[in-house]
Amino acid sequence: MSTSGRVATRIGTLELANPVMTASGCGGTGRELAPFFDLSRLGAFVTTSVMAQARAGRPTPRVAETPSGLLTAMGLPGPGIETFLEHELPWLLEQDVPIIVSVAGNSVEEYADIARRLRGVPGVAAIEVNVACPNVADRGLMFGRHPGAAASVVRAVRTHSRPGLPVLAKLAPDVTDIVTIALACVDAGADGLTLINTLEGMAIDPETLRPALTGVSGACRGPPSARSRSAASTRCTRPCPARRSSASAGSPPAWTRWSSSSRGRPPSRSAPPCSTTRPPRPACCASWRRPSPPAASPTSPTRSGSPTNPPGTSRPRCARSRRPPNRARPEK
Amino acid sequence: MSDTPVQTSATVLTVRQVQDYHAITLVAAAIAERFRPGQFVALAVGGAHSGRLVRRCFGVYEVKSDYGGTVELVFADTEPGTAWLAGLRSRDQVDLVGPLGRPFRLPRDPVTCLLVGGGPGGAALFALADTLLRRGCQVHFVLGGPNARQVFGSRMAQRIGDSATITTEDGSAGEKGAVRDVLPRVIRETGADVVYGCGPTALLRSVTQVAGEFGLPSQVSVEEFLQRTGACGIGVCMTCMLPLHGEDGVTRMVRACADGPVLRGDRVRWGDLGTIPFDALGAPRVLNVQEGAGK
Repeated sequence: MSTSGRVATRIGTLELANPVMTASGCGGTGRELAPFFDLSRLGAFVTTSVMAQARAGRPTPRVAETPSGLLTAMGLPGPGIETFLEHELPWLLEQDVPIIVSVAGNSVEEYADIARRLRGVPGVAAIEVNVACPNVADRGLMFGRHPGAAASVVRAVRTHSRPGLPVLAKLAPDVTDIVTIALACVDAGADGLTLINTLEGMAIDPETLRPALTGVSGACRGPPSARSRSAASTRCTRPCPARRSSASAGSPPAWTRWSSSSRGRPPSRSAPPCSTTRPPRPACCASWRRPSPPAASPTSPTRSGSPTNPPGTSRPRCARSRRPPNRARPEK
Repeated sequence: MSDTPVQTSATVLTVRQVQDYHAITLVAAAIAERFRPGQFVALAVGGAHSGRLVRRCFGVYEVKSDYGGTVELVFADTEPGTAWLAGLRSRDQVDLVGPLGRPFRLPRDPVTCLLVGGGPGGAALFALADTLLRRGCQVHFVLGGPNARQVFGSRMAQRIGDSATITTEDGSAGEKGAVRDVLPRVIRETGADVVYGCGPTALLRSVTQVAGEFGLPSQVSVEEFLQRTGACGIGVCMTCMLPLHGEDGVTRMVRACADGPVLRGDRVRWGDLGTIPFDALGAPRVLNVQEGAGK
């Protein structure tokens, strides 16, 4: 391509012909997009976040259309690392496009395990660490909400992946101070940052007075979310000292609109009994109550159709709202 | 390749009201020539700058060779996206992706086929009927709906089919009752060898059940489920998942758009639609479930 020289991009040691990448999840397995354009025209293809085990994700409806954008609550569906390495990755590696594998997990060990499994796979261009996953060891609080937790998963992936393989940290936006978390990730060995994961959103069906999504709240995509993304990028890149090099993943391509996963929470293992399993409510809906459930059928307890309490959101705010560790900012 | 879907900007030829539904004819030659009965198209609604990002998926009623190739869709106006579609005029442009999904599998020999439809979903059966008739199959229709205005294509079915049975819940056309009530009788009378279904999920469930009672294979198009839950139509978004019982006995969550919309009726776990069954592959493992905790 004649323009490749001008738009060639570097993220750490990762060299791309152009800065356009798929956002994780928005490209599916790659096969779905292949009929519509040549995948090798992308700078890089980022896979859907892969976890250790197969995951079915959340029940339907997983998507709700609102005037302010699209809400999705997927629950990180995926085939698991085993099937991914066996069936999905080999096809992608044949496509003549750098492959960035997005990894996710519910524990630091899971991240490390996946990084170890990817170590022996030739052809993977980089690893993207999706830190927007609930940490089971921390009562389901998202790794990406706390600098220490985010750094620990980045460090785990860094340690167990092939030396020299670029590691990108994909940051969650719904945090107190994204800069602190970004710095922690860079310190832990991230070669680059991906900004940003999706923003939290919620829609209520005015007829049923229930959340439109089975997952209660979901990820907001579309025009408003795109605006916040660019805002977050400007905010973050300024004070980041970029120990090695720090780059955002470029603006998401237009068909990011076709949405997809990359966010979700598994049901909490320590979920309280159903009677107290209320979805989290925004403050403005404080008086809103879930209507009493219909008479439960004998089969219902085993169904996962009932909304589970998303961990980390229902507990008292103060549990984690302490200030992040003080850090000298270069500009102040 | 001729079986890969294409994205195209289609020109609207006509939009007209048919009974309680709307029929839109689009000039899309590339889609018309690739189409096989059972496949669907995904339309972007609301125009180029719309906040409505979800594509609407519709089965194809008819494909014609006029103007290089046209595609006709039938839909019910139920939400703002379909209202936008119904308000289009001729020569407007619509972004269209298709043909998508797996088509109906066709019998190799000329056998007797029963086509069961409900609501606007019945429209997708007519393209199938054309193909079956060309292959020398006998085609019998059973169409149902709440009232006469919501049974799509009853006249057409009577004209092209070897027989057509209409049921309405209020008795305004054909027999009063549900499709399920007449199915066993029609299967016995026609001696059907295979049952095809397209329509609301409850209808497909009963079609599968009755076909199973007679030991007949059933192929159903879960187009209505796809319309309710789907968002992209091409298999990327993973929002139209439904539990399917595999050959190996394992239940997997499959995409209605990419792995369907035509599925073997006996493979779909109809009772668990809209949920992740606890025994599905990758289902969340809930530990310490206490008996009676749901009180």
